[in-house]
Amino acid sequence: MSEENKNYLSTGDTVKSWLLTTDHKRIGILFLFSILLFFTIAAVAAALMRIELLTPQGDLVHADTYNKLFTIHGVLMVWFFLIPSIPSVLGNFVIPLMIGARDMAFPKLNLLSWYLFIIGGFFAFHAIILGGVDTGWTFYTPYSSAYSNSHVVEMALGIFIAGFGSILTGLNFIVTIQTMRAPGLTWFRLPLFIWSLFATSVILVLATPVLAITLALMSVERIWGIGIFNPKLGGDPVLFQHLFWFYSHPAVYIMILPGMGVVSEVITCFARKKIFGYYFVAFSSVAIAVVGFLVWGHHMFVSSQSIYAGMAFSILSFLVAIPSAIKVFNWTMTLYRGSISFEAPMIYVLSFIALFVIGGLTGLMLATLPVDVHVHGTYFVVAHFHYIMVGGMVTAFMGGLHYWWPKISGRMYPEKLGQLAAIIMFVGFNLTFFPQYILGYLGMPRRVHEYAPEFQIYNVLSTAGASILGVGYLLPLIYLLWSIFYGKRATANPWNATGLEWQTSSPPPKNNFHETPVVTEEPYNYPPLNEIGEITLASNEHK
Amino acid sequence: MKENSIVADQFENAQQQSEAAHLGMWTFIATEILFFGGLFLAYIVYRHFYFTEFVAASKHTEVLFGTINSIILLTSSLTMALAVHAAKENYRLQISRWLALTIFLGLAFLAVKGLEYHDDIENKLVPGAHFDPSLPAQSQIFFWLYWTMTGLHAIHVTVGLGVLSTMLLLARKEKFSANYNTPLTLAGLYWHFVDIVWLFLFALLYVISRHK
Amino acid sequence: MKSHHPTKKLFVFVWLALVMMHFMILGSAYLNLGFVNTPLILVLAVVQMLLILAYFMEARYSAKLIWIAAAAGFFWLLIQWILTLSDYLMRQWH
Repeated sequence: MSEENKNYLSTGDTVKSWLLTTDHKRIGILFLFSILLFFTIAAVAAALMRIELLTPQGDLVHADTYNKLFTIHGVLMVWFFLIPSIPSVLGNFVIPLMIGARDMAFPKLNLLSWYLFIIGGFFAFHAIILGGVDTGWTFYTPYSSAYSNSHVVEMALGIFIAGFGSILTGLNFIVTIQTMRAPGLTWFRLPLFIWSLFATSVILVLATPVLAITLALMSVERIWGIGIFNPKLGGDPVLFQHLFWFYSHPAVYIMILPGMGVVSEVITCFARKKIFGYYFVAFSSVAIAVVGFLVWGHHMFVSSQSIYAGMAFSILSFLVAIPSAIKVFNWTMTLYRGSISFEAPMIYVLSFIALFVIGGLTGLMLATLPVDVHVHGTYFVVAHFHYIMVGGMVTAFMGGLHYWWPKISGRMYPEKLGQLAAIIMFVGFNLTFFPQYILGYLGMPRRVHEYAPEFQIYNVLSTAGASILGVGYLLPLIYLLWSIFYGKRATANPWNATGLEWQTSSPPPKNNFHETPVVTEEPYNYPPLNEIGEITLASNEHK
Repeated sequence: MKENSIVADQFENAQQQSEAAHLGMWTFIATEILFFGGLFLAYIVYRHFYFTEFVAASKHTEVLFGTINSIILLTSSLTMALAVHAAKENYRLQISRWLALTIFLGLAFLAVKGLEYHDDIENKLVPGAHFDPSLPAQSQIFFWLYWTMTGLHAIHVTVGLGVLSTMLLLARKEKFSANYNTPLTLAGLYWHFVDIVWLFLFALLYVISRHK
Repeated sequence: MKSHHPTKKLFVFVWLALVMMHFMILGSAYLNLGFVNTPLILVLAVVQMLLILAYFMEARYSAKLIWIAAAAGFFWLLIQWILTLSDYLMRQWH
């Protein structure tokens, strides 16, 4: 193979060529495999919890073990899977390709992000092996800082270090998007995935440091034996919650905005239409990033926070629904009279929209102060945020992974299996989490391993759904790995999509483009409807 | 003349590289602002809760050490700015001199801080079982914040000294010139930021309630 | 480029101003000016910060983009403070 034709995968296959790589595409793949590892551990914890909840009695694990299981599940899923999922894997891979750059602005910093993630993950993993943590992923004081007999500091250290990895990723994205765009690629010619990742990066950079300092203060308090969050000395535990949610609520948007970006890419491609209302979709990402910082108090309605502040936070929380709804309406309008085909990425994206609407509307219920007082701390909340984070983000991640898989691996995944897995996931997901809305509304508290017998039927349904969901996740794992070796070779642009990433070969060469592309038009310039038929025919002839 | 304005592969030209580096550093500073922000917020909240205790406690900080350190850091910011200035004017020898002086002042800051910490421990100002019993209990919160804030700041100074030492090594190898001084300029930005944090620590921990 | 860069003299002036303000802060700590003390000290500290930002960090001579990055840090800090204090200042039970 001549130097010209080499792609980023064939430029080196030693372990060293991977561990010391500064190629954004390879770093994306390093992230992909590492987050899958953490996802698996966290999923096993979830499976154990679902099995325990089959019966009302606590017969599989002790209460204490159960506490540790949901902490492992929460910590790993939030910080070691969801937050890096779309940004660090897909974002890393496609941002430079989409903007016509040779690499990120700071390739070494990009690799450092991965190492920080791995070191942080090592500490988290070590804390689990030592015996786990029982505080929940929220680390509320003074339980975490004074009373818990588990490995809180080590776990917090892991998150602290991984957090710096996310800050550097965000910083790299911001600078790359701002300074590395190809000639002619103005802000309003950018794909919407880039807009959503830019907004995500702003949150990563401005919220994560607050998490770092909060966990540091909590740890110092625990080590020192005295501190400012413990009421014993006159400290206020609610201050911890303010600081924690100042990060963690915007972090929820880190866990959904990138998914919204994937939706805009995929929906235009498989409806063969220009996005409806580009400016609205673009600016709604920015609006979500900003307004998302103003609403954290809605996690604290029953925490003895001032009732007036609670009312302000409640109203501000309603505001976030506006940009979110704008996106949903615009996607729907994009579908209207489109020439829709149902490849796997499109099925994922359509289920995203359905699940996000359910998750979002129940979010409005929770933002309503009196309703929240009723369902606070119940399975209603659990169901709500799983609809957003799993139904939304994980679904979008799967959609994006399938959409860009030909570009990443140079192979096609088996289409029929892909569609089947997407449908299994949708069914399994709804069966797992919809009963939890009912459970919560009826009053079953979250984070308990025993419950009143009348809740059993819904718990059985939920566990049954979880096993279907498990099959749904296992399928892509198998066929995607299979396709790396045996899949049909992908052409440069198998979806006939617009966007610079499809103009280079699959997989792309090490420096992405043989010559720097020049952009002359707006994104998603799919040809008008009457020309579609000819294009599909033409591409079929090539096969 | 040896030309060091190397442009990394991913950039088109030196200007793009320098713009990217500057934006990156300023974004990092924005991150740092929020990193310290949480601590200042805690200070504001507890000063609101325990005003009299904070007033009583703040009179026990050593204002003389604080003042000396403020002057040291402000001066080190000047010498840092002059080092960058020397690079931009192509006075290569002066870069090392000003940098060395900045590092010396940074070390002096840490030394004075160490002496002050020693006195604080002698004066039983460490929150916990051995805290000065003549002070009100809640003034421990003030001193908890004092130790964490100044400690975190001292860590930043130490990191800054590491960065400046690297810059000094590069400067001695004549790496910096009017054409290429981005790393030096960025190190300077960080150092000035650390100085700014100290200004507010001094105001809030040493002087603000002293007149009462 | 060179014209967009402060001179040595200007740096020394800024330093003098900073030191002077430092002593004003220190002095005001020993004078009882009633309610003026606290805001005076804070205003002086903020002016010191702005001087460092503008001249030592050369924000005055930098692109708009740099301004936005720095301003974002302060803006988000204000969000954090104002909304948190909206809780503490409106609590009726404390």
